[in-house]
Amino acid sequence: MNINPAMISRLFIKDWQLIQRYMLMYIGLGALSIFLMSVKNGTAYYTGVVMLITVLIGASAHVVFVSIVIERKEHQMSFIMGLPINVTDYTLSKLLGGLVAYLLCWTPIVLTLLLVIGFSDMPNGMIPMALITALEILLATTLLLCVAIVFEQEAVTIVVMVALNLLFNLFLFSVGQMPEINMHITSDTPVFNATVFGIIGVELLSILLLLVATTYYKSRKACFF
Amino acid sequence: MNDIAIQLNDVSKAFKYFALKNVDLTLPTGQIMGFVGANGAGKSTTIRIIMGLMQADQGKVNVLGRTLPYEQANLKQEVGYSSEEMRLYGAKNLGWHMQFIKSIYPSWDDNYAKALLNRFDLNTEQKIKQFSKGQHIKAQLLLVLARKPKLLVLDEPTTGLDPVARQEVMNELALILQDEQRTVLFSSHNTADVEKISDQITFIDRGRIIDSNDKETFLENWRRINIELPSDHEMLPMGHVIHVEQQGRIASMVSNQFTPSILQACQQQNIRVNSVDNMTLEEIFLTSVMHRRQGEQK
Repeated sequence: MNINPAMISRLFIKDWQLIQRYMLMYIGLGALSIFLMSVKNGTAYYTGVVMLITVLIGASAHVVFVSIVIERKEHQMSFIMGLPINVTDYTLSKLLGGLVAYLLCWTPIVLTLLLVIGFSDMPNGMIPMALITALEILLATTLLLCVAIVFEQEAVTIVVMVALNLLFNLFLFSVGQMPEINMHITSDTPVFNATVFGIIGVELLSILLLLVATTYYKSRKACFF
Repeated sequence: MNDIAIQLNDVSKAFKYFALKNVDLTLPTGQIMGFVGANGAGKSTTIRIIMGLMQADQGKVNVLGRTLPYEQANLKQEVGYSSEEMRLYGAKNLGWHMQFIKSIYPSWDDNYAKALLNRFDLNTEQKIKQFSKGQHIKAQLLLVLARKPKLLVLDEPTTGLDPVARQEVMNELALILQDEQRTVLFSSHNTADVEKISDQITFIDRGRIIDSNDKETFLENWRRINIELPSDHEMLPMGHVIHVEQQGRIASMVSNQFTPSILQACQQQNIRVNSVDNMTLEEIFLTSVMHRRQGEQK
């Protein structure tokens, strides 16, 4: 598998320059959400939670659509295909680049969230659940990136995005119902038990598998068309 | 230095409703080839195969000494490719695009880029989405030319332009291509554009190459001969005459290998030759296509 790291990083920088303004905006909105969560008011707290999830999911969709779907739809992909890259270079630049771009937004928001939970009046027992939830959104972002790259179709990407949002609610409900997690959410100290580590491990492993499988699948293609 | 820039041998590619069939194509280094065909004839498919963007089902593709599609990344370091469907990033300006391309191609020439900016009358600060289509195409050309590619592949660069913008782009392109010796493959369905800048011309129709030669040979070999027959009987077939239109005793015949022997043959059959006319490339192309299609039907 021939790859050109220099070209991959140039394509990543190019994509980042196209979305950085929006990512900074999402970071700002994320900070605002966390601030609302920390206010001692039930309405503000729930507004903050909903806003934070919306921001993380919105940023995810933004990265995928701007860097992959719209680039293809608006024929900028033809411009990129004319550059000295092969399919694997392109796939890696979109997969890793998209993920890194998203992480540049996701990481400060999630770290801030964990710190605010840790140092505010919110129960520290929320930390494992917050981390599991944030990682689920990261996993969904990775899956959406992979779908956009593999299927190369806007409609499929939109359908998968909608399905992932529906599954997110189901995921939150299911995890929240687990006694090993549920019983510690309101405790003063975070409890990282085997269930929490298991879920986090599955999430991280799934991200890795998706990245490897997509790269392998695309690298078997000699050509863009 | 390789004498052959592009070499396609027996290249085929099948789709559900279209097939490129047994394409042989040779473009010597330093030549400008016009690749002419109607919409859907197979020009873009051939060019995608040449660029390594699409894999042929069979045949060999060699461009600048590299086997495609396997060496496409290395090849594209030396080739400037622009196509009608290609779009730049609307939210960014031309200067941003120039910096991006410059960061990739060590051969980027700043002075040449500035000269092209002046020649094309483009503003680096202007966002691409504010460009007209003509400006957009000029911007694309600037980005491929300033990197000084060994081979330039232009897939229908003037398609969709209004006549004024097309003329502007073609004039600039003709001037630029005179600057230095470049190898260029230039596809179009517009024969006037191709005639203006090409040394070599290849016609493609329904996925097959129907003729390929240098421009002078095309223009010298093809003649329309206007004649008056001794009677209104249907004219007998004549060598090297591929098309005849007859109305009573008046007829017009087209030869794709014109020699004085055709006129002598007319004399022998008591056919009066009224005039022998040169043909435009468009007439040659259309007659070639019709002749080929009639041959396929028989």
